[in-house]
Amino acid sequence: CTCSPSHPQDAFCNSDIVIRAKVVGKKLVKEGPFGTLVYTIKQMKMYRGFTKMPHVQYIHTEASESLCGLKLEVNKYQYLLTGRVYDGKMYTGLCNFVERWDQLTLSQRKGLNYRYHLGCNCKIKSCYYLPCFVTSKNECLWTDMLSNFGYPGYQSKHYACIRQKGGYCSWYRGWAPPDKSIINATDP
Amino acid sequence: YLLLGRWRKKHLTFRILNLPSTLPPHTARAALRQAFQDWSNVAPLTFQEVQAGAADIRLSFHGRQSSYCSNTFDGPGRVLAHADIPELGSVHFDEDEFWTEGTYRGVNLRIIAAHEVGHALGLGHSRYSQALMAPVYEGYRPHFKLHPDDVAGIQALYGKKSPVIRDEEEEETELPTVPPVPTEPSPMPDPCSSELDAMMLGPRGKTYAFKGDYVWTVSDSGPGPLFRVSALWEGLPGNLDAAVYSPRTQWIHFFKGDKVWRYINFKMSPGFPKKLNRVEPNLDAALYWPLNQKVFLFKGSGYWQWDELARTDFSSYPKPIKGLFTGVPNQPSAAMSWQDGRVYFFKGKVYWRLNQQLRVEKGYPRNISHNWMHCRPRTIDTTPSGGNTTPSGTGITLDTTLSATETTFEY
Repeated sequence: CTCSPSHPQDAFCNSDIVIRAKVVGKKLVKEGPFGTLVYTIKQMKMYRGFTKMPHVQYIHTEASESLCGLKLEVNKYQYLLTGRVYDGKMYTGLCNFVERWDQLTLSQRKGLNYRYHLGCNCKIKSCYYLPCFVTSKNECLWTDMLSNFGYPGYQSKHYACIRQKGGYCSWYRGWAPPDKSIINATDP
Repeated sequence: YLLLGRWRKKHLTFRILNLPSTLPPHTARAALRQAFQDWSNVAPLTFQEVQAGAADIRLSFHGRQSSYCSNTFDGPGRVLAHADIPELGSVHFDEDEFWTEGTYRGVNLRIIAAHEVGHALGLGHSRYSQALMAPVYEGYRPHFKLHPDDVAGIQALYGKKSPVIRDEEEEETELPTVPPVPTEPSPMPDPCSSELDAMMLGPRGKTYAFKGDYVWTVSDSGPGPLFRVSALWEGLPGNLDAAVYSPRTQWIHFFKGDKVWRYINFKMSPGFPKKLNRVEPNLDAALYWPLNQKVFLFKGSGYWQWDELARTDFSSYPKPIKGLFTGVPNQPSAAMSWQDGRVYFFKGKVYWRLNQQLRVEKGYPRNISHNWMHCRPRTIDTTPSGGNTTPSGTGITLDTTLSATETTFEY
């Protein structure tokens, strides 16, 4: 399984379901070549997906990580889980944004609460090599992959791409002091 | 590394069932075959391609719907590919990705294929983000190589390949210090017309230019006298690839072929020369960047960033030069940071000056002979207009950034 890097905001906007939950059980069911893992979860909070599935009880993922199956610890951590809904079941995997809740930054938590949602009309354009340009008003350049610190980087951890006055989408960090290197990096 | 399974044989067949529409067929096939070779280079595995019938490992491209795979793909982005583990053998690529080879655009087929073949051979994901088996693809790398964790993983499954390959041992190996064979020196270069092997801002602010078996200092009053390289740095050969002095450590490093020499002033450090094991041989240029106190090594279109005092993880290198140094040519013949704090690159008869953001400044490239060596253009045998030497008619206008340096050697 190989994933392309995805900014948490993109992951949020492209998911049917975004929840905070604790994993309380795990079962292997026979489905597909290696089977499917079904995690039983206790949902703590829902950020997205009220219309698709207001209460999530089970999460499905491939049993093998070579097929993008996701390993979660039972009865240990709270997780932020994102995924899609097929046939009334929530599926997730390695390429979805899944993180231990205590590993999320303050900006990411704020993003989940409202900022990412505000930015779903903006487009986060991944930048793998230079030069790269925005081609329309609604694009933010995501340059974490170019940085020496790699992925996930500053823009993943601390920024949301939000439409500002004048209709332009740009990176937004909120109250926190702006990070000079990122301001430079977003300038095409 | 993580192990998920193992084939009970070491000779495996593979078959390419279909190809992406984004690449010429022979390019796509070559990329997929290379993916197998990346593994057979380091483990005692052999792979044989078959055109028909059953095969151990089967590669194919499918999309959001598939008649043969229950685990469908998700359109462009997110999941790029997936694979079975031994002894099943399916390797599937998302046909909606923009598969490419040899470019930074799109998704590199060879690297992703090597990752998925890694799964098909029994490897899980690596916790090192720079390993091939890391789950997230972080972009094209022109000089892609397996990470030590990838090699350790495949060798844990199938054993080592004999004979043991180079680049495996982590430490630089010592070479017997053989004094250079005194050979006939190459002809004396002409500082005014010669292309350069290396340039270095050395100790005490002196600028050295290297060509063939000779070195000279560069200052406002023109090029100094030519010395044999070995006359200044005993034990050092001519025709160097690169030279760099670090004010941080006082070390001068010279590079040639697959060897590196270290000097403090004109004295070779014990244990040198050593073999270059962790970066590629035959470098083009090297420089010290005072802003981050690192040494940069250049070859082709790539560079390595090296911290002299810390163990540097080179697995993410080489990186593309143009990713950091904007407007600089590939394969520079020399590079240095100079007294004015700026970075200079040299190639052929011209040079480039970079600003603090490492971007080539306006008006470059310029002529080395004119601005660095302060040579007057030949007035008789070159046409004054359209001549290829200097932009000015008089030949003595100085580049304003070049200031006085001494011309004599103190040793």
